[in-house]
Amino acid sequence: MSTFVKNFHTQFLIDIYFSDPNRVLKLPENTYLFKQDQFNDRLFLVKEGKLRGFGINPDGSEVEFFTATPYMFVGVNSFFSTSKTMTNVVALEDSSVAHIGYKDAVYLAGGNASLSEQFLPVIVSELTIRQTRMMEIGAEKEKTLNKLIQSEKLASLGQMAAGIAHELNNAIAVLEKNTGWLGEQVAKIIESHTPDMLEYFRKGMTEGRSLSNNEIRLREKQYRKVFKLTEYAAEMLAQTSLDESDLAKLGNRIEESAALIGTFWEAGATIKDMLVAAQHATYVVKSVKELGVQRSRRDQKIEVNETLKEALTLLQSDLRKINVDLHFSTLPAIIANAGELIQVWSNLIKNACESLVQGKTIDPLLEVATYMENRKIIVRIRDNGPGIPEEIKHKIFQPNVTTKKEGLSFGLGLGLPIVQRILDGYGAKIVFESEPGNTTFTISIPTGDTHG
Amino acid sequence: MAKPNIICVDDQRDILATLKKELLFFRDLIKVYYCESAEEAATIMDEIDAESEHVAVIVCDHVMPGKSGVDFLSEVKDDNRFPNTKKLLLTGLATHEDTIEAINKAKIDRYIGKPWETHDLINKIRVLLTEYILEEGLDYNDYITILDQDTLYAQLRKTM
Repeated sequence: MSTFVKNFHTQFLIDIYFSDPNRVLKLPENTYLFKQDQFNDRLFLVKEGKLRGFGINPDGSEVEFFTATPYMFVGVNSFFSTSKTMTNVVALEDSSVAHIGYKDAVYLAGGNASLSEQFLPVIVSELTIRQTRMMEIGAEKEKTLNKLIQSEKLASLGQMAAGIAHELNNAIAVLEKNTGWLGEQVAKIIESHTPDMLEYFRKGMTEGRSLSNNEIRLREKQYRKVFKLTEYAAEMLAQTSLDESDLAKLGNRIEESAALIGTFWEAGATIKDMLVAAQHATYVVKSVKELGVQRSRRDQKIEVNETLKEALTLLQSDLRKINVDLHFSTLPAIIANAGELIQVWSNLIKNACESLVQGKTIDPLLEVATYMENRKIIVRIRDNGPGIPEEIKHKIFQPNVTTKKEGLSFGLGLGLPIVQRILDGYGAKIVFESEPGNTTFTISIPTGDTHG
Repeated sequence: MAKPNIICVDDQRDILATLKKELLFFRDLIKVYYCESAEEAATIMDEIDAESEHVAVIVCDHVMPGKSGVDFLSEVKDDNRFPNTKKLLLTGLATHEDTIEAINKAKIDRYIGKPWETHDLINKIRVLLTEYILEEGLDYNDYITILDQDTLYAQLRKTM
């Protein structure tokens, strides 16, 4: 190993021991000074050129130890410890090294100090450097190992997810299809036995639970007053989606038919709940599967603007009531996987849409802009919705964080983690700013230009 | 009037609708309220308290937007208007830490995981309701048909 101690004492040693032109070795490029596992009886000082020290692992791989340049010592450890060499030292370019051995040693340097004693600072420095290097190698190994474990974890998660997804999808399909079938059969039976009630059953099944429980309580009070109903009758009717004008048609039969109407409506709404729950389950399975998948092939030449247009087309139905502003600049094509990019954009755009709808934003606006900055492609997606709640801002890229709670747009909290994972694969960065009326996600993707 | 009430809290309407069907068992004698958030439940509890009625049992989900179930039940525990109110956590997702916190911080009385068994849920609520009525010294004769007989007799034997 090489040691470089530039101080007065070292300079003194160099002058005394390494100035003899007879003890200088010329090392042409690629010649070895010494190899691993040999005894070395000389201490070297690099005069010119550059030497590389490396170890060879039992499996044949090489570990870099040092590069020695002029005024650095080589062979300190093996010379003074008299143990075998641990490194191979080869000239990276034409070099020359001065050397001494015990036989050449001249005890000029003051008093009775032995050669080892005179070189003690050099030896200590050498040991420190070795120690530091070993720690560095250890840390590097651990980092590589962790990366490996992480990717294996992901791979096995992906396999497991695929297996579970298959089983669950079968179960869900049975539940979903048969619930739909049962709904139709029940409707037929009602039609032939109690045709009056078909209307209420169908209403429950198509409209579902559009009223909040708070609204139901208010209605209950209202109906008791308006129709002079008992608490029970009012409660049965209040939970249905029937409004006052629907109920008025019942005339004086309202109290006696309340329980039946409520029950038929509830039966319909329950079948709808079951269908929606099955769809939710399908969606959950799909998202989990996506989180686990291996990275897709990235071998297409992709126009980022095209993938954005594609995502916007896919989300057409969500965007119907939203003003969309597009500002696309000309961008260089990048090597990517179109499916992955579309997934990123649609996740972000869908979040924006849902925030606009849930926040009941007046004049909802979605802005999508692309441009170049520092040889990176920038995609900016902005909405004027209510913004990301302060308390979840710090963790929106973690799984399980969601703001969605109603209807068909259930949030699983996996959208943004998927976005992050995909973008990581491209070395792309995503940042956001959010306040009421302005939420902006900015993605910067390196083009081939930036890394070579 | 010193009437006991039950409150169910879950952010999902379909879950509340399912509970509503199952808890019909109590409906003739006990009013059951269904709330979609902890905040809504707190408002209902204020109203119940203002009428000098009782909040006997709270059945609450944990993972909800806004205030979590455990946070809500902790607040109820510290509210001196509801010292004996029984707390049941009904949840599909709770980590080990959540559960420990629920027991230590919110002092929940029972824990049920989703999906639940109807009779298990009803029996647990019956036990809690019985305990509440006895602790508060309400007249159990009014509710005898829906109370848990074992809990009731154990208590009666103690006081005899």
